[in-house]
Amino acid sequence: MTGIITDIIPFSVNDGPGIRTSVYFMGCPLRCRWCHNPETQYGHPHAMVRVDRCTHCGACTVCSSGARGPHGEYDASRCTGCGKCAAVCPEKACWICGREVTPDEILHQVLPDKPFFRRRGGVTLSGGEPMAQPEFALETAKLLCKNGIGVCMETCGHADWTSYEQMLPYVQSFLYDYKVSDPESHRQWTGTDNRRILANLRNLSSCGVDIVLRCPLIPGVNDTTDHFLGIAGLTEELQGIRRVEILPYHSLGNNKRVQLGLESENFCVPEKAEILRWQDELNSMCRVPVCL
Amino acid sequence: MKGYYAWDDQHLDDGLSVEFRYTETYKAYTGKDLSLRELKCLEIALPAAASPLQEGDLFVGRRVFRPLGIAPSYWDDDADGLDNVSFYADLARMTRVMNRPTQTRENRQAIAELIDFWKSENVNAKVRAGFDSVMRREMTSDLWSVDSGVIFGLYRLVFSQLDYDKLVRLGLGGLKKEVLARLEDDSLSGTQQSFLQSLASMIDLLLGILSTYEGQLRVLLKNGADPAWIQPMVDSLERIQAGAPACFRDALQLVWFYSAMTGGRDFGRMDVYLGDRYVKDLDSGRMTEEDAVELLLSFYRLMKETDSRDGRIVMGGLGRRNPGNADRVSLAVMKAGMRFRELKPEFSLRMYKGMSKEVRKMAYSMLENGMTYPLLFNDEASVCAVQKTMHVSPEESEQYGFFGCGEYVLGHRSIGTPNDIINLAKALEVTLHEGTDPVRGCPHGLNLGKPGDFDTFDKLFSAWKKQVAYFTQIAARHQKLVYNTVRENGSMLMMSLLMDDCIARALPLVSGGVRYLAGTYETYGNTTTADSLTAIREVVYEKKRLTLSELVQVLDSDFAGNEELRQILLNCPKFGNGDPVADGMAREVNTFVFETTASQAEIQGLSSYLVVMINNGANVDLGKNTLATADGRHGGTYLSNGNNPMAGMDHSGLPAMLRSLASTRMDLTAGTAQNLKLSKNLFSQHPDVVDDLIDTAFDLGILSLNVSVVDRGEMEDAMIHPEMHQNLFVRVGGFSARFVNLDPGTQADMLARALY
Repeated sequence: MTGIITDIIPFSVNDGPGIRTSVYFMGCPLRCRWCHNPETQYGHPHAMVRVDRCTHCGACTVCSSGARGPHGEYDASRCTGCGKCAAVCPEKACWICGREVTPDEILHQVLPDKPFFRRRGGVTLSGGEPMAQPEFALETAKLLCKNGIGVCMETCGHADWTSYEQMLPYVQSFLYDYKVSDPESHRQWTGTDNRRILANLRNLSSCGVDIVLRCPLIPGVNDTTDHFLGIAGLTEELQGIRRVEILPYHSLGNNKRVQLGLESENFCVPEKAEILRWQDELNSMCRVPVCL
Repeated sequence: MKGYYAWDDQHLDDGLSVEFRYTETYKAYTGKDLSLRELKCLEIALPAAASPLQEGDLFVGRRVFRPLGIAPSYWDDDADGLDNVSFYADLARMTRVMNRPTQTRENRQAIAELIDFWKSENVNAKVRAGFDSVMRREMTSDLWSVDSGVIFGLYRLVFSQLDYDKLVRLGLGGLKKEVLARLEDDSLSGTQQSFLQSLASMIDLLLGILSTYEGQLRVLLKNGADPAWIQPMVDSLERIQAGAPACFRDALQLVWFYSAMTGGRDFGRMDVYLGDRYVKDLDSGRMTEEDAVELLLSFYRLMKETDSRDGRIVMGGLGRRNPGNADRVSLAVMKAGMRFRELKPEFSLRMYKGMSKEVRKMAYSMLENGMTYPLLFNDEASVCAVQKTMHVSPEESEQYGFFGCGEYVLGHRSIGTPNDIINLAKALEVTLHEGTDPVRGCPHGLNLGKPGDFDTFDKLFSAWKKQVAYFTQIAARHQKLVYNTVRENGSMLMMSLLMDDCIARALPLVSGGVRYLAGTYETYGNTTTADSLTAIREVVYEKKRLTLSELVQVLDSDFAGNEELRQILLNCPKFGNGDPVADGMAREVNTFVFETTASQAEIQGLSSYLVVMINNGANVDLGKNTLATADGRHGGTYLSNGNNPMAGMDHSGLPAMLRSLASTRMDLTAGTAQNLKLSKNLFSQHPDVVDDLIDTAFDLGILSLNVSVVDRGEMEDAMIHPEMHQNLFVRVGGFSARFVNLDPGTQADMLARALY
């Protein structure tokens, strides 16, 4: 069995407890406009293009998929990840993002760092969305557990419940994204409504697993009292939620969007004071600690 | 203290009256007993070195350094930066006094004669005069920071940790009793008797200086000085002249005074020798923690203003007789350090399983606040390593201390001064140039053949090993020569009094007195060399992209027109990424150097002779005279630092980097520097991760960690606006520095290192 990932990043300290290695799965059912890993949204390897290096020489039109235009144009959704453009680009402006790996290969890469995981750390399956490759995620988690490595999974919540259900024995903690409380607004910003996400969250909680509710806060999108009340309500209702983590918007994803041939987004990056105010407000409303 | 500088020429009168008296005495006693001559010189030098109390001081014993004297190491960092051992002579300072515009012709002539006399009479000069023909050929210069060469000699007896615990327990009077009791032995030779008598007289000399200080304080009181400030010092001086220190203040006073008079810089297990008195004073209500912190702050100020190097304080660890009390005083010692917020003292913490959580927390708090101290030691593993490398019992190895950049020494039992340095990358360079230093264009090292003769990698590697072995045996001979020359010129009385087993054996320090006469050897560019060999093996011998001769030409031209090749070399496996190929080569290179060095101990009659793979900024200076290397490094840029990846070459994450470091056989050395540059965010947001990181690093066998907690943006801004970042401390290697005071090369090295 193989899956598609973009990267394996050691010493990840922001994606679960302790020292962790994060594995970034490719493919995501959502299209959050603030996504900081837009290159993982596609379910297949594809090119990335540094436009500042591109001289529009046209060499990359060697590509037959129609993803590349003669003047540096790029449509990642049409890219097959064949790598021809990267091979011919004289400026080394193209490279292929994503690679096919087996769970064994992941284990092989992660295992040397196992001593650092100690009691708290381990591997975090992230992405993208691990549940976009449910069988691969399951096999990977099984293999890691078998080798004594704790697994956390970061998820957007938009997948079949059965996919989550089969992961339960192998995941110590779910880092569960909760983006927008209002279903229609959720659809507007992410491409889908949040009913399935909420249903899965409730199911997970009822199974007694540890959940960290991770809430990206985007000025002008979800920094509203209604959304905060929504978050607080979930922490009241669902005992599985151990804490809330605020993920304040940052603009690092924009550069990657440009490399994918997408328009950059113009959300406002919040000031530190604003972030602390959110944290205070949420802390006063939620049953569980709210962290940054 | 504003305007105070221990080496300032303003302490010197035009006539250099002290120096003339000192020299007359030296001449008068030359040819007589060495201990007696040293004593007589000390009787002139020490009272003149004892400078009066200054505003705010809570202890007497400000030290000035005069241009003539006796010290483990006289080192003026405003001059040439070289150490001077035993009977030293700062000819440059005397020349400055001679050339003062106010100077009389008679004085000039007399001082010129004085300079002429000491030019050949100082011990550094005598060591050089003792060079054999090979040393003269291979060690043409001592100016390692300026000149080109593979090895350089250093001249010092630095970093010995005196038995301050004994000093505090017995006091000067108690020590004198011990010396006099030993003198009753009828079997002692005349030389031994003279040595012990000189020790006893030296104690009288010290008591006399304390008495002079007491008199000066009483005059201050009489003249209206604040009694709340002066009287406690008067009382303390009375007590320590009469007996052993009775309280925390007395202990600090006596230790400071003795250290200043010795010219020593390391304070050993301060938690042990201060712990009992601290707890007694605190629990009896005689002193508050705040009082103790104030006293420590004054101690630190004296340390900072009297010397610019070292000042190591050791805390924690196995083998303490009073761990509870020691831990309590450690908290105050660190608290004062946090408030002092300077590069002194150099705090070090021996971390062991089951240690005080409070002490550990306080240590991390110091690091989080950007103090770069304490240096963290893996205690259990260090004890094992010291036991093995220094051939001592477990009980003795528990008493290890460390100095400088973290080199091991046995507290008050051994001397392990590093007196030679080697540039391993330069050793490869001269090997590739037929035994010639291409920078100086003169013969240097062994001519082991042309590059074309090395038709296999093994032949090249063997040639480099042969070259390193050749230089190492010269270095070991030099180390022994320094000891021999010191022995032939004096007794190092101040050190001998507080080093085992000088009194028991009735022998001076390096004349058979110290229990373990050891030596260490500083190696630089270890990783640069290993990575270069890895690249040569892959590019020249495996992939055959070019011949070794062609590669040497490319390196000699600093990759001019060959950037593509440089990139290929840069992309070869590098130490610091958990890569078995690169780490394997580094391990082989290092193990060879460690074992070759250790093998010299028996040949030279030393108890051990070990590598210290540390850093003091020499990686930058030595790099300036090292041509481009096959790891892709440009000529003139810094070499790798300690047991670390070449800056910027570790890109596989922190665990991989630490795994690489752990692959080095640190347990075959007397200390290696492992640098860890962590972000402030990690410390403040993820204390659990920091715990896991350090525990794991130690579980992997890493013996020590130099942790810097910095912010890259702050370093970048400090290069543009240095005036705004005076308090930005960074850990260069074994030592810490203000970032803004570092030379641009070292700043670049610091910036290039990976931040985790």
